[in-house]
Amino acid sequence: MSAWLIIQREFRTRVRTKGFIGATIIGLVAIVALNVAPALLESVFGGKQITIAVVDPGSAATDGGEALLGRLQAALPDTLPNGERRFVLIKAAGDRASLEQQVRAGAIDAYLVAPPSSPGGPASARFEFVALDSAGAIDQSRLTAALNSATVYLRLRAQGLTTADVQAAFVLVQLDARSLDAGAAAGGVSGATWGLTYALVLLLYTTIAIYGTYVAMGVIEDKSTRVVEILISTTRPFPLMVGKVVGIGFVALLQYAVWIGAGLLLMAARGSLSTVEVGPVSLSFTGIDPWLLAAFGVCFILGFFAYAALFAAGGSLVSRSEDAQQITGPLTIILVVVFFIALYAMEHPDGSVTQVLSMVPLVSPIVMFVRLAMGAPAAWQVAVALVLQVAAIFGLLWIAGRIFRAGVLLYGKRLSLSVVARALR
Amino acid sequence: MFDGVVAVDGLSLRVPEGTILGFLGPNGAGKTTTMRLVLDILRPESGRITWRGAAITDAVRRRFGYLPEERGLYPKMKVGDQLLFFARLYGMERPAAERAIGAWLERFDIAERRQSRLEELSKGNQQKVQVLAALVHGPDLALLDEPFSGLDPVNTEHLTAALLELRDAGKTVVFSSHRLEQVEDLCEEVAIISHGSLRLAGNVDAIRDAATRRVIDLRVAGDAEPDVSDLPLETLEPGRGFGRYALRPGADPQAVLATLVQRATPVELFALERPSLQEVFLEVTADEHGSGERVLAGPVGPDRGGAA
Repeated sequence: MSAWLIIQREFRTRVRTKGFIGATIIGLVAIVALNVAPALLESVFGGKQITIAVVDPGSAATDGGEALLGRLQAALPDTLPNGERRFVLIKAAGDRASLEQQVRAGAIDAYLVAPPSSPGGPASARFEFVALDSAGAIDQSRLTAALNSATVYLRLRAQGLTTADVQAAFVLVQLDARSLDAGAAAGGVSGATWGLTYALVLLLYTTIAIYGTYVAMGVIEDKSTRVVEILISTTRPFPLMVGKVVGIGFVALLQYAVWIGAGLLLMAARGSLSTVEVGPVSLSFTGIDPWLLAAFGVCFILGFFAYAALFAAGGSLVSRSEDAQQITGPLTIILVVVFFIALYAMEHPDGSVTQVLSMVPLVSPIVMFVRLAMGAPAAWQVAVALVLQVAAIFGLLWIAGRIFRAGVLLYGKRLSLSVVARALR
Repeated sequence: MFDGVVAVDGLSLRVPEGTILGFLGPNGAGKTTTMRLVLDILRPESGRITWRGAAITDAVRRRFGYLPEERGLYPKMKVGDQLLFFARLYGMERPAAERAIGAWLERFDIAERRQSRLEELSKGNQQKVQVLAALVHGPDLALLDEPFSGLDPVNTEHLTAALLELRDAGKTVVFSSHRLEQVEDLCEEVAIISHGSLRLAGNVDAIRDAATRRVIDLRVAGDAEPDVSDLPLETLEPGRGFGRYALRPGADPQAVLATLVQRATPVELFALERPSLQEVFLEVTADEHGSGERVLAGPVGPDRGGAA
């Protein structure tokens, strides 16, 4: 009952703060910007049709109708938003001086000069590309690749190969890797799964670092405002700690719900719901096991509450907000260590070290998720991890309560180890 | 707990239910510590604290109300939300709490600040909110540590009336204060502690009656200082034409008067009085002021069926 009151108070007062509203709005703006910006940039800078005049002295002599121009056009199939071709290749009219004139006048955007060719193909492979702003007209590595593919095609055709032969020669290889050793990285892990795992690890890490600090500050606030005297005389320390951690946890969940909801809405509006951009990582939702998403949720909540309890215990050790750093600093280091363990686990999802660590409380939420996503943990290992983690959450909350209780009236002082030890007896 | 200092020791105190007890003592005497012990904020190393003869459970403690000496409120929380939070922690249902908060805010003239954040209020108004946080649920036992500090005369009256009302409803109030006239007006019971132990407790009138030493008010004609040398008197208030003196234990006031008359002192008034609470307090806590004498201390007051 009193835990519920504390949850309500923590949630309501925090959700109304300028800090929370501001951070949520900034996050929303960032999400909208990331979603809209590429399309916006495209329409502003990439929406122009580029006309390139091609000077090809060798074409008449070498091919039977299959000119460089045609092959090049095939290699640059981009379209504009209105459906027209982005790159329009035309046969050049006039000499270089006249072409330069046309570029300056804006009649064409650029011109391309191919080297003269001999019957065996172009004698030299040096092309010349001229525009007002040659880098702005077309990405040059893109143009080089298109020219390569067109030129190689024409050379092979000149050697007497049929179009079908050439196409067969151009088929690219695919590599299907598979590991026989269970401890090795599973070859079948898709980029999407890897991305989702990495995203959880990052999300959990940042959420805990930010909201864990809030939990510590919230506990310290009760002491620095002396409200603690009224709280402790009406409420047991354990429900007090549960209230703090769950209340602030709900605030975190609300913020993520707003952001994720907005992101999904935007993607639905753009009709690209199957792909999610998380920073540099691109995940595909199609083909991901819904059970894995459920595991994500469970691991997220178990991980969050365990660390929040740890931060609550830490906050109970000091009574002034100026001292919060002394507590959040060391705890963040623990978090960083777990983060690196998770990165290791992603390389060796079912290695023996990973198997052991995936059952250790505080480490298990992240590492066991990595294994669920990428490896094949035994059911008993999942059960052990779950039981130990839940026990750890309650244990840490209980310890936090005891420390909080002991520290109630040691205002302005840090608790000595002996006092903490006595409180825990 | 306090770096080896014993804050409260051998304190034995019964508070009769349905009374207002003034809890007095010099700074650092252990008043706040005693209240915290009753509220289970601190735990005694030995000893017992009971309510109606039984150990204090969580449910019983939720029927207490506490006003800490230092501000104990959330600065950034609105007054109304804050009071609702505390009222509900004390076990009130929401609708009843909302009604009670409205009535109490009205009564203390801060209804218009219900939506203000606490930190926007003046110190006096913050103290009012603190008082309401302790009283809004109509506690069976209100423990108020310096409730009058920072209140103006109007609000002092409001609080006095509220405490009397609680008492009339059969509730018990324990409050500490340094203003002894106020205690004398408001309380029928007082307890005086010093150095963590009880010096005197009981009914205010009984304490003043039971004081082993009487006080003599003496007025003489003219503005000469009366000659009290060699008399069994201690000067409390010296003055020209008027003096207030404590009579040493065992001394006979008639003999004092006779001596004065013998010395041809032009006595206009010779009154044997009970000491004021202030004087009792100063005597009882005299060791804190240096003299070490405790002559006024009478027997500990009558023990009516009690609490805490």
